[in-house]
This record gives sequence, C-alpha cells and structure tokens, in this order.
Amino acid sequence: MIDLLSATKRYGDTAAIDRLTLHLSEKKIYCLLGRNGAGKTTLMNLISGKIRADEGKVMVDDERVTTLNMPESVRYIEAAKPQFNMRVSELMKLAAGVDDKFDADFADRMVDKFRLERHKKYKSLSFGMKTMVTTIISLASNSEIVLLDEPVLGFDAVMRKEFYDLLAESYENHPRIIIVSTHLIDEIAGIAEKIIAIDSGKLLFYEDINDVIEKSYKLSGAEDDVKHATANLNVVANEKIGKFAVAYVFDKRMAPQENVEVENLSLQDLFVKMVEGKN
Amino acid sequence: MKKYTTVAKINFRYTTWIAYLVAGICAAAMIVDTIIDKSMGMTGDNAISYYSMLYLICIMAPIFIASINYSRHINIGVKKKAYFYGCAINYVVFAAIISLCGVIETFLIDPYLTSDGYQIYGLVKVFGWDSNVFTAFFSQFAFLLLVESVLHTFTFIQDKWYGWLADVIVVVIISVFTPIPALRQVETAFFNLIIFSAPVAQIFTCLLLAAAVYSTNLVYLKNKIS
Repeated sequence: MIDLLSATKRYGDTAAIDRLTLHLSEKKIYCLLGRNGAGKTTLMNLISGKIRADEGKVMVDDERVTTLNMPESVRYIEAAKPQFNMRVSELMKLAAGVDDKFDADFADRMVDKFRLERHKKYKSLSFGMKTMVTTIISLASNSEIVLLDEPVLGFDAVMRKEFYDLLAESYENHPRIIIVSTHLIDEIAGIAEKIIAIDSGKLLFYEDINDVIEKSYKLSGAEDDVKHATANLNVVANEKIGKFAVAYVFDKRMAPQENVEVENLSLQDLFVKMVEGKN
Repeated sequence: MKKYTTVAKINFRYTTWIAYLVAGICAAAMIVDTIIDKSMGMTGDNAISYYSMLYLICIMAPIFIASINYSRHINIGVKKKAYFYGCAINYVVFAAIISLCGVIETFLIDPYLTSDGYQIYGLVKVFGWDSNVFTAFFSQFAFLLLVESVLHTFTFIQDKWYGWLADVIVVVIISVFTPIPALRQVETAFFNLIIFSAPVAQIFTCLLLAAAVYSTNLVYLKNKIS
C-alpha cells in the first residue's frame, strides 16, 4: 500500500512534486502518465526511498519511507542509470542476491524469450536490450510494489508488444502493485487498470482507465451550440476555427445532440489537451 | 545477511581489483628482490616485510569502494542499509586477512629470512605489536579497520561541502598542531593511543573510533542520491 500525504520535493526553487496526495492500495497495474519533467521519476524515487520528501509524508505499508529505511517491499530499477558491466547471467544472479523475492526461473525464461545473450556484457548490449535487462530484473522481483520508469524506452514496436506480454504474465503470476511510467498511454491502456496523471508535480487525475476512456470525448459544431452543450461540463481545452468550435471534455458522457458531434478522444489526446489547456 | 554479503562480494570482485593488482605487483617485486639478494649472498641489507604491501589494499580499497559503484549498487536494488553493512564486511575481511598475513609473516617467515645483517621490518615489529600472535593480530586488525573507515568516510563525503570542510580541518590540524609544541603533544598523544598504547587500550580505542567514524556514513547516506 502506498500513501502520499501532501508530499513535496523541491530541487532549488522548483517543486518537482508539489503537495501530492495519493493512495494506492489495490493490486493493479497503474499507468503513471506525465510529460518530461512532470515529476514521474521524482515520484518513484520518493516511493522507493531513494530521496526524501521535503514536506509531507510518504508511507509504504503504513510505515514512513525514509532514505535510510528504504522499503523492502518496493523494487525500483531505473533503466537510464548505469549498471555493473557484467554478463547478463551474472547480473541476474546479482539481482537475485539482493532481492529475497527474486524469481530466477521467471527471469531465466524471459531472458530466453527475448533472446538476450547471457554471455554478453551489459555495456555491449543495445540500448533497447539494456532496458529489457533492467525491466526483466524489476519484473522478476516478486516484491509487493514494482516501479518501472519508462520501461519501453528504446524499444521498437515488436519489443514493446513483447514487453506488454511480459508485464501481463508477470502480473498474472504474482498480482501486486506495478506502476509503469510511460508516454505511450494508448499502448498500455490494454493492461493497465488505473491512470495516475501528473503535471508540474501535481496530480491531474487518478482514475480507473475505463472511466477515463468513458469520460474522454470531444464535441464539435457551431461555437454557440458547443458552448451551450458544454455549459455544465468539465472542458479541458477549446479550439476555434472561425465560427466552428471543438471542446475537449473530461466529464460524464453526454447524450448525443443534434447540433454537435460527439467523438471519442484517445487517452493520449486527452492528456495532451489537458496539459495544453492547463498551461 | 545475504544482501550484505552480496554487496561485499561485488566489491571484492568488481570494485577493488586494482588494489589487489597494485599490492600484488609490489609484493611480487619485493619477493623477487629478496630472492636476488639471498641468491647473491648479499648481507647488510634491510627490507620491508612483504605483507606491508598488502596495506595498500586497506588504503586503496576504501577509496575505490566509496568513490565508484555506489550508484550501481543502489540501481540493482541494494538498499542503503545493505550497502552500509556490506561495505563494512569488506573492511572487516580485508583487515582480518591482511592482519593474518602480517602475523604469519612476522612469526613464521621473517625469522627464517632474517640473518646477520639482513633485517626485515614490518609494522607489527615497528609498532611493537609483536609480543604475541594475538596482540599482533588484533592490534593490527583494529588499526587497519580504523584506517579503512576513515578513508571510506572521507572519500564518501567528498561530493558535499562538509567533505571539503573535513579536508580543510585535517590539513589545519596537521599544519597548525605540528609546529606548536603544546598542540603537537595532543597529536602525539592521539597517535600513541591508537598505535603505541597497551594492547587492550589500543585495540579498544581503534575499534571504537572506527565504529564511530564509519557510523557517520549513515547520516550522509540519508541524503546521497544514486
């Protein structure tokens, strides 16, 4: 269980995480969505205890997270950070050595499945393969909370598909809280159950992914009609072309109307419009 | 415990190999020198004991351990506490093995090599820890552990302002204390305590100081970002 209570983390004058309150208790796959610099990595660092909150509290399993008492139930390996330049097989052994809950058989199967060459040293792997190694290490951990920061960075479309299969298999084998930060929200929407969207260190929304899909749509038509139709709705962004208007809505689904056209909005578009509208 | 030993194993294998290499080369050079001296029947020469070269490990290893691979440890999933205790295992093992080598050489090898006019000097003899094997082992062990903890701590905090401040304080102590007789006495008393005092006092002081100095790493680790 993860609880952030008005947690704030500043770097100089900039608040990377700004009075963020969040409660995650269900074993699900969560998608952490945010622009570059939105605070995703800082949030993961706070949960894992790699850094400490300047204000507020971060709790994992009802215990306050400190940088010295990093929660044992959290597994967070940053793909972009350096690793020991060992053979892939040695790196897996090492990961097993520092994690009591490491599933070596799962890791072994995944190394085979993704055709990672065990004898190759980490530095000699391609960028995508390096990311895959750290992702496998993270997912092979049966820790109760697994954090994956941009796990598909450098992956081609095939590898991304394979990653989502891997993620689903890992979750099926051992349901737990898995938080995946990514920009490719539409791709992960198939397996993630909840979305945590943040921007400038603040929570934009935290909702069930199906609810978000249901609540995301756009209305287009004559400006006055659109204005009238959206009078009581949460409009995240507006566009105007002459007298024609488009309103991007994140609210309860409205009934079809004669003068305005209702279209579904992809999660990616919703997020972009939300951030644009906010800025 | 497995986590701690894993950290220690990584350090033994991947972080400190340069220290073994340097110490090994130096020790090998000294052994070759002795063989040449002995085979040519040279007398009247003095030599430094081989195990002295192993002290290089105690000096270099903490510098390497504290300055490289911390991020890699944390990024493979090592928790900060495990890193702290894992490194401590490294230092205890280094100090124990090198002390054991020192005892073996001082009591078994050096007497065999020493002859008229050919003397071998090692820290155990120079510091007067050679009264018996236990004193030789534990005095050396405690002293080496203190050296390792001080070097680890100083190296570890160099990326913070207080690291630089600590450097300045050490330089100031050495340069101010040494020329002033009254302060020099304080300095002398300190070194007497950690080196030349009665075995129990010397061992106890070194172990206590080593633990105190090494514990300060916990404060620094709190804020260290991988």
